[in-house]
Amino acid sequence: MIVTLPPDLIAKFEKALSRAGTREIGGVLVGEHVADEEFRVVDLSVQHSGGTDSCFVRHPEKHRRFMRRFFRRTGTDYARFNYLGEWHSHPLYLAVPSATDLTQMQLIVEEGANAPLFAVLLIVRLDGSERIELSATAFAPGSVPIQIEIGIQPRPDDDPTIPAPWITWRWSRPDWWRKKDVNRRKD
Amino acid sequence: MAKKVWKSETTDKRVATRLKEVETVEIKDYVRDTDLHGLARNKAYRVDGVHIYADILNLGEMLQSTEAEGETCHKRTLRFLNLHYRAVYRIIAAVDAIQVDFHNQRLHLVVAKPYGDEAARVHKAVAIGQLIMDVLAKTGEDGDEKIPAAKVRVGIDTGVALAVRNGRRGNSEPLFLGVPANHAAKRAGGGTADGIYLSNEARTAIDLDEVANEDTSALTPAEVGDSQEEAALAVTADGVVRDWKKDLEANPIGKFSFSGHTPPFADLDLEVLTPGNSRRNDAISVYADIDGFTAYVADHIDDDDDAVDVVRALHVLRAELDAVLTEDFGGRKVRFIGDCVHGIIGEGTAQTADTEASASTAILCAGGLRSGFDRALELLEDEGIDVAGLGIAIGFDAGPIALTRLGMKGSMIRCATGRAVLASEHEQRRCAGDETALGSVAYGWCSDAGQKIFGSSRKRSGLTYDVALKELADDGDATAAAAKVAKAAMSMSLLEPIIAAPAAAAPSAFRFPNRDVTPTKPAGFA
Ligand SMILES: [Zn+2]
Repeated sequence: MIVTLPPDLIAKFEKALSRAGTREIGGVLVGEHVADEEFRVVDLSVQHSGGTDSCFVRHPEKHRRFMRRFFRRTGTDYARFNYLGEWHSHPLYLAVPSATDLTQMQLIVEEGANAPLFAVLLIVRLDGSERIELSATAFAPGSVPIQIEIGIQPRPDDDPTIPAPWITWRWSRPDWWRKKDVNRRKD
Repeated sequence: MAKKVWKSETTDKRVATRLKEVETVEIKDYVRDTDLHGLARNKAYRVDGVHIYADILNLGEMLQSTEAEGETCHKRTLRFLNLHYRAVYRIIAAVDAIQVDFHNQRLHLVVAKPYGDEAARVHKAVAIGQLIMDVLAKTGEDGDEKIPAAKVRVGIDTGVALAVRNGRRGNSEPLFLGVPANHAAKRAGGGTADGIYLSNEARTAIDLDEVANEDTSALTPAEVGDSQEEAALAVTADGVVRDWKKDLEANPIGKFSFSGHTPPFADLDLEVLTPGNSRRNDAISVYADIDGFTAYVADHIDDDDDAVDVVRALHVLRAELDAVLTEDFGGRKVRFIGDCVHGIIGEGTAQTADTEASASTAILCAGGLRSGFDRALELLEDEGIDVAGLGIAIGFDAGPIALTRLGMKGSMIRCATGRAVLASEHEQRRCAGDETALGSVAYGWCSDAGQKIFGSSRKRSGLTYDVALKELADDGDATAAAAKVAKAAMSMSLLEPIIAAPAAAAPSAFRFPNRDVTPTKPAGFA
């Protein structure tokens, strides 16, 4: 399975994380089912409150409007556009899920009749040179979490999910990406 | 992601490439000023030298020092090794010996000088062996966390070995193949008593009587004294310890700090690890050793045309074992030890190993190693390269494994340690060239299907990839079922499809249902 992110959302992460300092922040991810095992993140919400330097609680009411707008834009085509998962930052820790994170995500996909069939967890952090490091893990009911591939892909030209007004821009910082070893860190 | 599939077509392609790299091979004799560093892949030297193996006998004790094999146990063990490694580096630099490898408790050095004087080399080797014992008896640490001195057993043999390039990046110490390297290692590993043990060849070279049992006949203090006098090393144990202390003050060993690596281990870059940036995972340690290789080298070393075959066969076989481990099964090679490959493999997350999937992957990988090896032998034979008598012995075991690099700045060496590492080597040693064995911890990690393959002896002969895949999948093993799907898909298409391996997360799981699935409860993360 692969999940892609458009460059503008990387920039959104960078801006939000930089502002938050050592406080954890997070939000929800919404996505499009692009192909068999490919999903793209089309937008994400940012909740600036509810975090300390070692935990973060996402409150559903803070994201209700974001979700409502997203479904309105995409014409409630749930099989194609839907809730994709969660993200939060680890400003002081490695960009890998903690035990709490794993348990919470498993609960999200397993609890209740309305649970999603799967969910993705993105953990993001800024490294020493203010570049984004991230890890992505997929959760499904009754199975172990798996680490998944993340790709960077520009939005399609006719992206129906773009909130207006949308300013197109060029991506010109290919060196931030360190997919190979998300655990790597500076001494 | 590794597909956990071995296919002979893949091996065919790889072996063809590797063979091209050693199409022309040059065998030379080591002479006075030969530089064995940075050897070309297609060059080998016949070196008449003395091989020293120094085994640190109390490494196992360090690893068993706590009931649970926790972080503290691993930190102490690594500090123990690092302190002693650093001292040995000082010795090697001071006595003009060739450092071959440090591999956990085992240090391998070669004395190639003085050129043309075997007796002088053996005396020098004995003096170096004693120096190592004397120094490591003093390079423990008092203080809050007492690190014990090292108890050392030294094995020494002399004779002609073949020096070839050891496929490591950066500083490329040579690798020595042949009887003297093997016999020195056997003497060092031949018992639990400390002391210096010489092979009869080495004893004869310095006019000592041959003994009935080389492994129980340590040199006497008087015999060691004679050699020390003959060798007249310029350094003393006290001098080395003093320099070692000064260096420790100037360049203290950083505190060991662990984080978990997110599998696959193929993604782990071992060259970035430092004490402060070490990894620790529950994982599986695998040893695959080419059986019969020492005898093979002995048979081929005298004649240049035959020796060329040794270089070719080793290059192809080791590279194939590495490729199967890394490319096909997502493992990570830690190092080549002579004709042996040591690697780490595992499944799960950075925090929690998926023990059953790890064991299944290791079983499939062990099958892949055997199949890749067998296929490579066939291809070598097709090229007219003699490979008669070679087999592969594979052992693995599971448990907490610490991964880091130790030693001096500029020449840090990889270290993977843990009870599982020692146990996996032990498992490999009880195997013949067609056998695969696993330790009791790994056996406990296995699915029912996995346990059935090995039975209560925890050993199985002829375990190729197809056998492992079929027996695992037939008995409902999830990892094997996914590999089977991936293998079938690879056969159908020339292009290799990307398939997520774990069967538990089958492709159909990843879709959106036709309803709003946004969670309605608060979610707490840490
Ligand atoms: Zn977290």
